[in-house]
Amino acid sequence: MRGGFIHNVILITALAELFELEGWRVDTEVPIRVGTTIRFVDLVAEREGYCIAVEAECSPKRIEGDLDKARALGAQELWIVTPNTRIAAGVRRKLDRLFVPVNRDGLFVLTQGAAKERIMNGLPLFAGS
Amino acid sequence: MRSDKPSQTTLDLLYGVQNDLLEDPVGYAMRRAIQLSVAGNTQIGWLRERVTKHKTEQMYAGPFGQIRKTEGEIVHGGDDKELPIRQAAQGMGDHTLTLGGSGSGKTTKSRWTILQAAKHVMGLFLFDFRKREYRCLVPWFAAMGMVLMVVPARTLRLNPLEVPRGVPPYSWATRVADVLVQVFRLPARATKLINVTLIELFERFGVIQGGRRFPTLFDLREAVSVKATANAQARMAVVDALDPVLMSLRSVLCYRRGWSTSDLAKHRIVYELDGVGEVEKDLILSSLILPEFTARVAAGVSNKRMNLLICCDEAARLVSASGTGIGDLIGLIRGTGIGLELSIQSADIAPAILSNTANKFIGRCGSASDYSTMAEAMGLTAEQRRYMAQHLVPGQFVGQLAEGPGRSPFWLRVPNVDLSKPPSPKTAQGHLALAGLLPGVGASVDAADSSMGLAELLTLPTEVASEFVDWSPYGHRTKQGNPVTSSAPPLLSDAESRYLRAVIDHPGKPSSAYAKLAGVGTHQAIALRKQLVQQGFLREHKVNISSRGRVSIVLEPLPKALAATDGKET
Repeated sequence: MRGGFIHNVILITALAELFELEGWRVDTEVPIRVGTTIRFVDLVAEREGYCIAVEAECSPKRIEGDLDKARALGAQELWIVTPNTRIAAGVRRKLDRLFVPVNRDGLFVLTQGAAKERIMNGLPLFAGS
Repeated sequence: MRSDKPSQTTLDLLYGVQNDLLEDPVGYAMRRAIQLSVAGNTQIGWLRERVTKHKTEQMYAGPFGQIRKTEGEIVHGGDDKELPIRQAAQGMGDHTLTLGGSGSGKTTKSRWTILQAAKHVMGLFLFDFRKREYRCLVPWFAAMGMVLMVVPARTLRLNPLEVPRGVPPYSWATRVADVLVQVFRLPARATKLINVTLIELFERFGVIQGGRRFPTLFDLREAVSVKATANAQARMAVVDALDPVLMSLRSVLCYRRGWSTSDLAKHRIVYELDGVGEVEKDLILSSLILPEFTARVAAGVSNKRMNLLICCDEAARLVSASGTGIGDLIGLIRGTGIGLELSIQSADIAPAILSNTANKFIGRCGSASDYSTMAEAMGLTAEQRRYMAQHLVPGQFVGQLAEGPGRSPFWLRVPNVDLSKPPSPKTAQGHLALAGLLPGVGASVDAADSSMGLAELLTLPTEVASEFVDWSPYGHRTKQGNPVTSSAPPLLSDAESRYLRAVIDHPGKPSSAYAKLAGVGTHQAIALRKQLVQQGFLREHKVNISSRGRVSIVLEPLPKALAATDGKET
């Protein structure tokens, strides 16, 4: 997995373990073709045909790429997980500039804690299923 | 009717025997005749004459009286009649203390004694603490065919932590810790800290397993400075005390294996310590004599003939009542073949010094308390004390020897031989003959060279700790300016190891969780975390790992932490 300690251990591994505990099938570093290039999604969690792409970001630089990867993957949700609220706010500002609505249409910008809480709550989507 | 009162002849005979008046053929004949009751008036008259003459002489000899005939190789000086007062060379193994004010003749007496004792011992350590009084003996030694080396303090190669052969490393760690605390005047708690750190260093360097690559004082300083769990005051005291000494004696102490004292003890050496500070002097002295003392004690040497004489001129600091290394050691080394000769100006002495120096001399002093202290130690009468205080002049001493007739205090005149000037061949012959010494065969006064033999010391096996050659307390660097990378793994305390292991085994936890995981208190965990971050074992990240807004500190173990805990059990 490409990334540092925060990206790999604190964000991705921790969420992957939690997803698995909740009964999700988890895959990390999933290759996906975007246009003519192969890109990698940090974490893909799948359960009963419902797919969530998780991208850990320590800065707002690669947000557009994350959107492209989630779109190519056909994931129902894209979680952009950041280490803290400061980076999360930066990501939201960047998305605003791209005219992409946050926390709607399956796009969520979450800190690691918020992401874990969302997993443990069983996801609102699955609450009614 | 028989009287119970002894006759006058019997009393004279007893007096004559007690005072060695009958130690010649005529005296022996008189004694036999009287004992066999065959003595006539002539013999009784001779005896009476000898006794009366002796009593008359004693009357005029002052309160110290005439000393009986003494024997031995060492001539301390002469009595009123210039008759030599002698002592066996081995008698100096019972240690000698000379007290006298400045200009009283201590150094002259010391040089005179050393010159005679030199040929009876294998090794001679002469310590010049303040002046350069002993180097003038070099040509005199040369005239006797012996080599006396002069070694300035900064040319020494020492490692105080080097374990002497035959001494268990654990015992040595304890002994060195005590000495370092005394030398550096550290708080008592520092003893435990130094002791534990030394044992850890010995284990790390394989000394416990019998290895001969030793940690240095620099290693000790570095290890103590990063011991976060140690008592803070003790730790800072050790670091503060070591830093200036390590800076000052960097070239002396940067040896993993320095000169072995057992090798040095085979030479006659003047150590000139006048160029270094008082603490440095104590450290050098301890480093030179402590290993030899300890090795001999550990080897179970008992009542061995003296083969090493250690003379300390102006040794006030070493024997002062405020506590020193020598004060503790002097009681241990009797009978191990080491003789100590100490000269001081004031009677501010540790009780152990007075108790363990059987040979004592007092010269002219400037203080009544000095006279009083020595008089009590030598058992002088009130009359002798008064007389001594009023009549001692430079070159004269009141002495007491370890055994023989010299056990009774006596008046002593030291020969006025000016040893501070190089001898002409003629004077050398004369003075050496006076002291019962013969010039060595083929020896030449002109051959005197203080550097002679020093080359031999420089060839003794040593191992340089090159990483500390350019050491500085503010981050030491090598000569090329690159930070030092030690080949040995970094030293961690048990708590630090547990904390690191907890971080590695449980990544991503908030830092507060590691206190319980490492089995340490909350405050200690905070201190450990800061210390380990500062030392480059861990890196802190601020992460929102809860859904609430508070930021937690998450710790990232760095490669140094992985290396340090590699192979250690949780």
